[in-house]
Amino acid sequence: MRKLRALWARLAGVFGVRKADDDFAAELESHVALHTEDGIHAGLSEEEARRRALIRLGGVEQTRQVYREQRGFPGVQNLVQDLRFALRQLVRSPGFALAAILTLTLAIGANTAIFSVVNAILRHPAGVDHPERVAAMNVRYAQFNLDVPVISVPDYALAVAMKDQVEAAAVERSASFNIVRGGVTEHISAARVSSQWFQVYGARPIAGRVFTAEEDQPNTAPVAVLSYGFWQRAFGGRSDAVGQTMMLDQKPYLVIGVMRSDFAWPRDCQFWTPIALAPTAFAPDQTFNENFRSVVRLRPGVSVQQFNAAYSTKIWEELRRAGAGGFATSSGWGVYAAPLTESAAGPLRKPLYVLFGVVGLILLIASANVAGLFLARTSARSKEFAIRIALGASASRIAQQLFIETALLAGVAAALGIAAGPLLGRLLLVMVPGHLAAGYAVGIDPAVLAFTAGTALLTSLIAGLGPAFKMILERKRMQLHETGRGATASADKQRLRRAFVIGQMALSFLLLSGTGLFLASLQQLQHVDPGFNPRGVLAGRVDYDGEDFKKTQPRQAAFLHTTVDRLAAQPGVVAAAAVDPLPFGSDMVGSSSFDIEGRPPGPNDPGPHSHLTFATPDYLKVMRIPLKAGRWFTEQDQDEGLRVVVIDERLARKYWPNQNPIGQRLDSGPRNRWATVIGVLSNIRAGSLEEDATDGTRYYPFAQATDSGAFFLVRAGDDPNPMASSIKAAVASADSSQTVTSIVTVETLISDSLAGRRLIVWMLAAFAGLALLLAMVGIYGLISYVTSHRTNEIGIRMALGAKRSDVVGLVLRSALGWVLTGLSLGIALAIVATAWLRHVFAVFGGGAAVSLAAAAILLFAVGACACLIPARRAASIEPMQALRTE
Amino acid sequence: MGDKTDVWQGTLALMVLRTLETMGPLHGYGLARRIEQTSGDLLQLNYGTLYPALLKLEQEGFIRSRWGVSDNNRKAKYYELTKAGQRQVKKAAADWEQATAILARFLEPAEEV
Repeated sequence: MRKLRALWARLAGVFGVRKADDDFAAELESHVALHTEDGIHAGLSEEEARRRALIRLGGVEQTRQVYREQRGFPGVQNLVQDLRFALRQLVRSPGFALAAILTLTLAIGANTAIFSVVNAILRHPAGVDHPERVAAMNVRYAQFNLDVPVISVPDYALAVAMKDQVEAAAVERSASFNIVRGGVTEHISAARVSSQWFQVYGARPIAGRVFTAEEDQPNTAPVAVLSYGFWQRAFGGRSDAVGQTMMLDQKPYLVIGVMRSDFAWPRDCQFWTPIALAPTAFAPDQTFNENFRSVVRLRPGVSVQQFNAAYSTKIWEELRRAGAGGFATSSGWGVYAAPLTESAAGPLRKPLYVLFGVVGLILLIASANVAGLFLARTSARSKEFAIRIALGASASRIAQQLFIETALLAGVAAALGIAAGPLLGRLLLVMVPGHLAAGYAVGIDPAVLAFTAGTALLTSLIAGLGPAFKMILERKRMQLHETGRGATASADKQRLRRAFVIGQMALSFLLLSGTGLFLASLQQLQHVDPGFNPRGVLAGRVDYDGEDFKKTQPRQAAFLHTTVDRLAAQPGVVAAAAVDPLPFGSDMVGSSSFDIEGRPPGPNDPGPHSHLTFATPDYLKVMRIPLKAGRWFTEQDQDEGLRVVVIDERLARKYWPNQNPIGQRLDSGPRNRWATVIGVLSNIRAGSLEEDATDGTRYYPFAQATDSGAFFLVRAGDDPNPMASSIKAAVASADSSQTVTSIVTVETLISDSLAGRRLIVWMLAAFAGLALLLAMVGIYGLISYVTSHRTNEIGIRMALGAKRSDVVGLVLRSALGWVLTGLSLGIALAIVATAWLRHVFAVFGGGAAVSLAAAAILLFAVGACACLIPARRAASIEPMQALRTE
Repeated sequence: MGDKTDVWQGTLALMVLRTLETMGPLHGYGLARRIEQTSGDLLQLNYGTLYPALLKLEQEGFIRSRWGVSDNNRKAKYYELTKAGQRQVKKAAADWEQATAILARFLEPAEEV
């Protein structure tokens, strides 16, 4: 307690220094006066008495110094003093301060912006409590090159049973409902979830409650938990919403709760309703029916790896007991959990990491720039330092002074960065094309603040380290006379600054060539032929509404037929069709195993497997996909007729190499009806221009299948957008219970699939520009500084007959030498980085030579321009004047 | 002056506290003189070291100070014990006595074993 009290008193003593000083001076004065008086009483002269009093005191100044040290903390006081001094220094050279602060603000702001996005998307997804304990379940078929974020109900049941590792587990299936509001039918997306769904995410309702396990049973009265947004829209945010009933697909749902606004799992979900799995869903024959998204919350201290190991052991035990291990082994099947933070970001993940790396480079460049500025100033201030050293300042004290100056600048920059960073981050999310970022919220939280503070500290350390280091090295040589005349600041003396400029050049080159590479890859991707012609095609999605409609094949067939016919009859429509899934149109692509007649799979063969697509007769006309052999569906291929299937070239080549597949028969699914191959279609890309990972596609006519929805397509001239209303009208008139949920051109869908790549290109271009600017400022500053200190030398050279061109050459030679050194270093770095990025990004690294060469030429040209200005200035020196000012 | 000793480290605080306890409020110079007198003029006190020690005691809350007027009408800063200071004198005195007693046993002439 005493210690604490004393500490507090000392801390308080740091402030109010002047008043306390005066007080002590008065006390000492009174002491000396009292002592002198005693001396006079003892018979001394006043002068002698005072002299003796002062001697016994041991010197007024020394006493005051000791007293001062006891009063506060000398270290802190030095710090405060240095801070004041630093402030005065910066105020005295506002141009320098402004340049440094601006540079650092750009770098720190960019870092804060990217980090705030990384934080919101990768580190801490909104609305999730302790996201590190939440994992999403996936299934993998190594043999089929398939890895999807869905599992089966028995897989989920197994996770639920692992009580010692799993705190909560849930399954989800997206659903959509029609709701009639104000006489208008609206189609809204929702999710059917098991009762622990909210517990897994640690989400609590803001009103009402979430459903119980009892409500999550078949044949119970349906209930719903509303999302915040839907509550606002449909109920105007009224508090009496809970307890009301809403009609969904003509069935009453009791509203029992409202979720927090930041909880959006799955995304775009308007409300949640129990999945109410029937006992048959848990039967062993459902083991490979992987149609459910599933998430688990692990118990504290259980890692995802531990869970996966235990889960894998258990699931294989189950399989062997059920005798179902054969297919699982041969197909390379496996179920595993992956951290939510990995899967949540989806296609934004890779671009974000690249950008995070890029802003890191920007930070380095900016730090180098500020360090360069400081080094220049250190040289200019060497007189000041020399005086301080002569007066007894230690090297560490001067280094501290330098660090405080950089820290002060970085601090101001950090404050600005914190103000601007999250705003920039939000802007970045808005710029993210293709709704990739919908639903993410960027804000300031402690992690962002800590990151920015850390960045600022790091920056000030990097920027301060160089000058401080140089100062300490040169301390011995630093004497008062050195700063007089003759102190030619040759390039040699600027060794450290030169290193910074070379480093900047190298890093800028890395960013420039990276931009070029990503740009080249984007162009390359944009020229990838998807196998069909998306131009002029508009697509409208219909999710079938009504349980009855979803099961009745003739109703679906009639609906599709009527809608497509009405669309085709519209003026301006070249062709109309329906398809599901639409290439590039959905995340979830159906795929299944199938049998080939007369070819039973061997014991260790998982059998054939492919994607499947349903389409109407005019699909090829709309998408302009070339038929390679045989025929496509016609109106004659009806449900009661011959079952038909069209395969793509990939399947044809894989299963019938050098044979004619037409006339062969395939079978899939439990219906066990053979379908005859009637044609071979050329390959198309299913959802990515980057990689062609599908293992083939089978096409079935809609007329012979049931499905859960369809995309209606129209081909109509160059701009198909005006046809949107026609699609809506055709759907509504064909069956009034069905509605179109979204309408988009196929071109847009393809372009959106490259959104992540495009984002990288934009951001990289912006950052590379910034880096180039910083590097240019860096090299310009250095050259002008060096040449301005060579005025004498240049004057003498010119007086002795050097021509202007000689002088320009002299300056340029050394400067361009540094640029070239930086370039070669940069090329080495870029080659390493390209090799690494090639592993991460498909279709990357093409045109590397061109990108590198273009970046090199650009950087060299910019570097030369930055050098030319000071070189020309040096060349315009009047020799006589230069010598006279000597 | 040669036969006078300096103040041992750490003992000055106790001397100050004890002197204030017996004498009541004193100013710095008076305190210094009083300590020298009490020591029978055997101690050589560097007055300059007294003030930081006083400040430390004040920071710890054992003494407090106020400006007052001396007997011969001079302005001076007076120090006096606080309640905590009074307790501290007792405690420190007891500690010191114990320490000297222990040391004394070591310094006694070796007795017959």
